[in-house]
Amino acid sequence: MVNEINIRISGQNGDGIFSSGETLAKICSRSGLVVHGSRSYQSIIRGGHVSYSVRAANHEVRAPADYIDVLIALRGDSFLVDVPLMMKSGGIVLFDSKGSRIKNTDAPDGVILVDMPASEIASRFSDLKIMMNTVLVGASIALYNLDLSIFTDLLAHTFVNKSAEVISTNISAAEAGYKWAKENVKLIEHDITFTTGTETIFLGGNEALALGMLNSGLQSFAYYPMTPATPVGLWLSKYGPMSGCTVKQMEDEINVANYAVGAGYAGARSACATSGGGFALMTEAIGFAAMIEAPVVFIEVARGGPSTGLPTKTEQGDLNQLFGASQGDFPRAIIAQTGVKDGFYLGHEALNIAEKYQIPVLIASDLYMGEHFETLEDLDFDKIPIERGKLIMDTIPEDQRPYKRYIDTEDGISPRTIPGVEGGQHDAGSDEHDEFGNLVSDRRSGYPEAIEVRIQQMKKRMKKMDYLLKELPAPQVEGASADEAKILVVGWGSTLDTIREARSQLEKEGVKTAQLHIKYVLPFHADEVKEILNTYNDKGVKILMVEANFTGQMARYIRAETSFEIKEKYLRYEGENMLPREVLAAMKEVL
Amino acid sequence: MTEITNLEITSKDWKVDVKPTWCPGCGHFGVLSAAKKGVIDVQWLPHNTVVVSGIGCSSNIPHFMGGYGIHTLHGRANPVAEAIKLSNPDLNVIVSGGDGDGLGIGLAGFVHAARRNFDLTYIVMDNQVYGLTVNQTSPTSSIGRVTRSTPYGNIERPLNPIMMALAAGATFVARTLSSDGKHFQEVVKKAMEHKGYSFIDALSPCVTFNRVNTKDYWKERVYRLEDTDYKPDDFMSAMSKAQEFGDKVPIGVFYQEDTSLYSDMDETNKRVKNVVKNGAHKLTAETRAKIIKDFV
Ligand SMILES: Cc1ncc(C[n+]2csc(CCOP(=O)(O)OP(=O)(O)O)c2C)c(N)n1
Ligand code: SF4
Repeated sequence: MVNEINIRISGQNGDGIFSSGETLAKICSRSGLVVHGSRSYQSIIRGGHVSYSVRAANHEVRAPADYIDVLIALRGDSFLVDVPLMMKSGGIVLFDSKGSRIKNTDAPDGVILVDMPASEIASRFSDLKIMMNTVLVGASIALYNLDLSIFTDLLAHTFVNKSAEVISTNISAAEAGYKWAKENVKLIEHDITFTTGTETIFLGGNEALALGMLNSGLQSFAYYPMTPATPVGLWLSKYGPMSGCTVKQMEDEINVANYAVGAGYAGARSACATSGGGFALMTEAIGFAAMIEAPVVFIEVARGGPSTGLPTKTEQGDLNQLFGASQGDFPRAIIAQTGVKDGFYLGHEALNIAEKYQIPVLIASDLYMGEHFETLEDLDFDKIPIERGKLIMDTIPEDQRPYKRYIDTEDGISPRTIPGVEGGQHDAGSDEHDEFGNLVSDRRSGYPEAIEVRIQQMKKRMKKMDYLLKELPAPQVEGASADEAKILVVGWGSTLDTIREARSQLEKEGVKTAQLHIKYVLPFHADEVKEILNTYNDKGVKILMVEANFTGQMARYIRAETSFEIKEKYLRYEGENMLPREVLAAMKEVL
Repeated sequence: MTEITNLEITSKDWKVDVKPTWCPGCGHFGVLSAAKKGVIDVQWLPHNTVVVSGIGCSSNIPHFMGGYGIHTLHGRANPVAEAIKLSNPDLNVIVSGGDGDGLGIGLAGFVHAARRNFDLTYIVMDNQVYGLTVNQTSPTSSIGRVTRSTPYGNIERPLNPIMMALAAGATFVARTLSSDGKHFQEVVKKAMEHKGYSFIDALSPCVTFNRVNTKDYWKERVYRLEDTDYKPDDFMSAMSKAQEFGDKVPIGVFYQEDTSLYSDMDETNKRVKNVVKNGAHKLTAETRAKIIKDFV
């Protein structure tokens, strides 16, 4: 008896894998389940081997599944990639040896091979090859006894702009596949309850960020296509204009970043997104934003590096790049996205922090985080209000002119005028400048007064970090106390739920565990983190760092900030999504 | 030309205390003075005007101009200006910088801003040398020029800014001379009045590092297109006129065309006109419902 649905559909690029996978995911979501969808693909447009995995249950499923129970294998390579790595006894492979010309069907012992005449069934309704997917999706949901009408409703919804004939042939194909499976395959026993009538939004991590920002008054977004960050821009290109946000694809990431700074300076809530290589090009503008105190959110969705690296694989390898982006010392926030739903709220939070502190806010995401999908139950669109900080839109009184845009204040944040505000004119200088914005880099440079200005302005800008740190919630340990826990797992960003699930598996075996997860990377709660690590360490709890990069970038950072060295590390850099069972194995290794 | 009487905005409104830091005699003084006259001619309010620059001697101009100024990174004035204009199309935006800034490191930004036809006035203060970094060749340096980076003479063909602007799709393309205040003022006024991307190649000698392309050098060569029967309404004639750059150097408007502005065609601006003035808002219940419907 299983309590989860775990279906994967795999085949070649161009086989319609992603749309079929998404259909499966939505069928599960519309059946009242919590759904997790994830993809695997390569950097080519046709061919290769791609898959879409759907995991669904009545309980929380927020990490990729350890195994798949039903595989829809559209190509022979499914037996080389998905079957050996992801299937075990009891799993079912649905395939069509004749229609898909699959010869080699090696599989682990106990895996049930269901050779289904899907292509022939599909041909009764249409000549289109893609109809076979509809038949197979129909068959796979029959195995779980999901309601066929949910699938057929979804087909009607998907093809709403097509002819009635298209809709009816698709529905017939779905029905035929469903019927065939019911008649020919032993159905999967499960205790999952399905409920209809639920409408839960199903979104990717990238899109959730985009939606969150748009709901937080985003007014300007710029990008240049780069996997895996592109979906943020594509999503906003469609929905931005519906909510007062301009979206601009630029000629390169250097100009994306500078554009984003210009928009922030002009008074628009501004953001941009890219991946590692593009981020490298953006860096000079990040310091520029900090220098002229323009609020901008920079989203970095990492993929496997270095160089163009692994364009379609995941990695947490760009943390050092975020720390090191741009020359000199300046205030910046680095916040890691820890979940799809977290992305929705983070979109609000990042824009608020950028505007309140007038600093660049860098969001650290990665391919897994950005490109996997989840149902987002109970999204609260009103939870986080729009905060614009010390933004001045009213005419500046005579006695405050010329305007001191960079006036030194208690918290380092100066009231900000934007072009159009009468009397607020000033020069926003990327060179070091005084309170008016006038340069101290040229004629005045080296004079005692200029030296004082330099010190004043550096301190003024950097003070913001202290105030921001106070506002950010300190990380807290989840799980067992230092007295009870056998192991403390430390992670950051996208691995939150995968580590949680690995821990719960170990807990089921009777081992008490704990977890420290970092979301607010900079400014950093060094004292609190140090305290936690020392407390657990002093009690003899094993401490394990889990992160997806070669050198343990976060572990090194923690060591630099707290002088605590986490010796045990589970480091991943081959690019695949981290699975709970893999983290579990790493935990067991150190115990 | 219509005579403007009862000027509302005068040089007093544009007065600033910051004095230029350029070398005495630098061509950029002429650009500054013409630009300051230009904004008064077109009656731009200082608080509704943004002067955007890159980095270089020339790029210090916002500090001496008045209005809102943003002194960006080297080569990045154009993308910053595009964002300002698209976010708040009611602002008047002037872009300025050197030939190194705009035609070297910032070339992509210039080309793409031009082809998008943003309503910007871009003045390249062209001294055919890198001034601020103390005398290296620039993209417009002539062949054979000896600079510190070309002690044996420049061997690269100079880029032709006018052809470049035309090829990129700028809808107003002109050249003027910083020492010819009157001509500059006329050209810059037309550029500011033009609805679309205006490009001015402003010959602006560097008295310290360029002893070849001096004020006198240009005086001997330039002639005004306005004094001929040239009409700036034909792209092919403009392209061929642009190739004249030797013993005779034409100044004036090479090309002008009226066509749609990026900010007018942008879908968001069509709906809300001005995103900055529209303000930052949560999704309306209606838009929220529409989005959710697409993702269930
Ligand atoms: C990214 C970057 N590269 C190089 C520089 C150094 N730099 C400053 S100004 C300049 C060239 C200036 O020449 P130009 O734009 O022609 O202006 P001019 O000083 O001649 O007016 C250079 C290379 C810089 N500031 N930033
Ligand atoms: S170095 Fe040349 S360009 Fe720079 S200020 Fe002096 S004269 Fe002008």
